[in-house]
Amino acid sequence: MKCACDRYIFKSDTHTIISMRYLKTECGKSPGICGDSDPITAYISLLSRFFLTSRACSAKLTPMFFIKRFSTTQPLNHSAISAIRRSGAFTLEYVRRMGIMGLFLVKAVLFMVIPPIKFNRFLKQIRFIGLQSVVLILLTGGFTGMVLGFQGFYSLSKFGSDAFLGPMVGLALIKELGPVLSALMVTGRAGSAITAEIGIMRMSEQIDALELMGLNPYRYLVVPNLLAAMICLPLLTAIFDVVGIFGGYLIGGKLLGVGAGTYFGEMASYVEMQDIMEGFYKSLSFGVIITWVCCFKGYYAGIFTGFGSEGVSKATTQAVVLSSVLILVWDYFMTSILF
Amino acid sequence: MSMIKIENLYRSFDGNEVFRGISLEVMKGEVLALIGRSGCGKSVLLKHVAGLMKPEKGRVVVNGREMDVAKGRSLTALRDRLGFLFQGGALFDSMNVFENVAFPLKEKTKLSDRRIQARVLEELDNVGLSGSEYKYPSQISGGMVKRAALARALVGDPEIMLFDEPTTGLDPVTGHDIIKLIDSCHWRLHFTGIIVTHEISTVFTIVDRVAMLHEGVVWADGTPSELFSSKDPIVRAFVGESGSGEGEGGMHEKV
Ligand SMILES: Nc1ncnc2c1ncn2[C@@H]1O[C@H](COP(=O)(O)OP(=O)(O)OP(=O)(O)O)[C@@H](O)[C@H]1O
Ligand SMILES: [Mg+2]
Repeated sequence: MKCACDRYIFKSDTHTIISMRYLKTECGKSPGICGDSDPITAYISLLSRFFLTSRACSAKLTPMFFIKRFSTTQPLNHSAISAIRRSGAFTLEYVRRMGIMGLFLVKAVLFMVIPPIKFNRFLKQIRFIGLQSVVLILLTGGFTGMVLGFQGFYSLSKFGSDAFLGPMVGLALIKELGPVLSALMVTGRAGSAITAEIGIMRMSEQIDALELMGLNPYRYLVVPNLLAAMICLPLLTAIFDVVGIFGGYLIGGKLLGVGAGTYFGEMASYVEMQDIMEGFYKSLSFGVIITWVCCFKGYYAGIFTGFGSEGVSKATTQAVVLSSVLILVWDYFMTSILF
Repeated sequence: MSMIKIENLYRSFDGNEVFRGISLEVMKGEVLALIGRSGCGKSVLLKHVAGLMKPEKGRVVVNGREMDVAKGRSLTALRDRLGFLFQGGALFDSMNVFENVAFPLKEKTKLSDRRIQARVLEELDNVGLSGSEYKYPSQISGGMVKRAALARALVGDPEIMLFDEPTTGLDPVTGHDIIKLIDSCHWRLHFTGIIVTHEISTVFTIVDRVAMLHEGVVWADGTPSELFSSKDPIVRAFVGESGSGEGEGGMHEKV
């Protein structure tokens, strides 16, 4: 490998074997007689190199292969291989992250059921996720119910069955809108804050500091949130439902003239315990989804989303988007199971 | 007996090879200064010693236990005896200075509240922070954050102390006080320590040995006077100018 022509041979051996006789390399000799070996040994070594190179061995030696191979001196279509490789790496990375995310939930649940629970932080999170969301829930619940009052009355009166406004509003809120909308509200208000807080703690090495004190970050950061959300979301949903039902009555009953007896009476006879339980299960699972996604995104900010304040903001965006999407997707599955 | 032993450590970040075979040993009770250019991996090395990062190749043994395979109880037991001063302080920003320093004691020991309070106030006084106990990390200066973090690291009476730039960002007087504080703690607790520093002149007076990282290996390793008298151009460039004039005896030598 002393001369430039030898390097050329090494680069594209197969090409060279065929056209060796016609080839003139930079030093002016034909490649076979380059170096100190005679043409025959050079040819044999070239041949053996050809059959030993992994690419030649792994590819099937079909006519198409030779045509492709010799139509260009470039090694076998580079961009195609790298595209396949890149998409493979991408897939693997995502599968890996999903695995980590699943493990995160398993660990969080594990540390939730194994005793020492940081009660102070738990109370603090109840206050943050639950108490401080109440006004928002009152507002959104009230307006959702009022809209339902209008829209429900409009649709139902087309069939002349506006007496059923009560059950319609009640069922829509209890089974669907209550859990989903309050979960989305909590995601936007508390979930994003949880991600930002944990993400900043990750960036400023506070999580590392916790770990170095021999303390378990899950116990301090994840479990209190998880427990608090599992308790608060059903309660917030209940508030949402009640306020929404009264909002519906305000419009349907007071404004559009459905009687209070009809509204609440029909509702009581058509809404069953099963419907209420469906809403309860949904809101419980949404609580888990919100804290799972938001804590996860914050916890792995910096590792998955880049460093600094940009990393935190990215993590927060991703957390809100992902948990909102997961809430709606999971809602579909819950509905189809509990239907 | 060696307390911290690093053997042939390799580590890279996305193709950026930070360590290419680091070997380093710190004896029990010894204090080592770790120097090197900014970005050469000093903080990363400390994190490997503390088990916050895992080596790609090689071993980190602390007190006879392998840090990279330690898990659960044994890791917690190791870390209970370890104090770490982060370069950025890493104070919990939802707690004030007092709560920050009291936190490890509250969570890890069964001391009564009064004992904890006395201990914390004493430690805060040592680092010159009395009067700022009830301020939050965002309300105090960078140097004060550093000192509060130092108090938090020292409050548990650790056997191994890892300081990441304890004096950076402090004025010379406070910096000097902090170095003296570390020294007096060392006399009291006999901890094994690594001090990452750029302030060679002051820190070299209290350490037993100095290791210099360069190009992913331990480029130079020896007593402060040995380093000052080194003829290696890279070591000279580092300790030559800044060190001459004070500190150990063996440094007034040929340039
Ligand atoms: N989490 C990380 N991800 C990717 N690269 C990292 C990470 N941590 C450190 N590095 C890289 O490792 C190298 C060493 O970083 P390190 O923080 O240890 O430097 P340093 O010696 O402490 O510098 P300084 O004196 O400025 O604190 C840097 O090039 C940095 O880019
Ligand atoms: Mg550093």
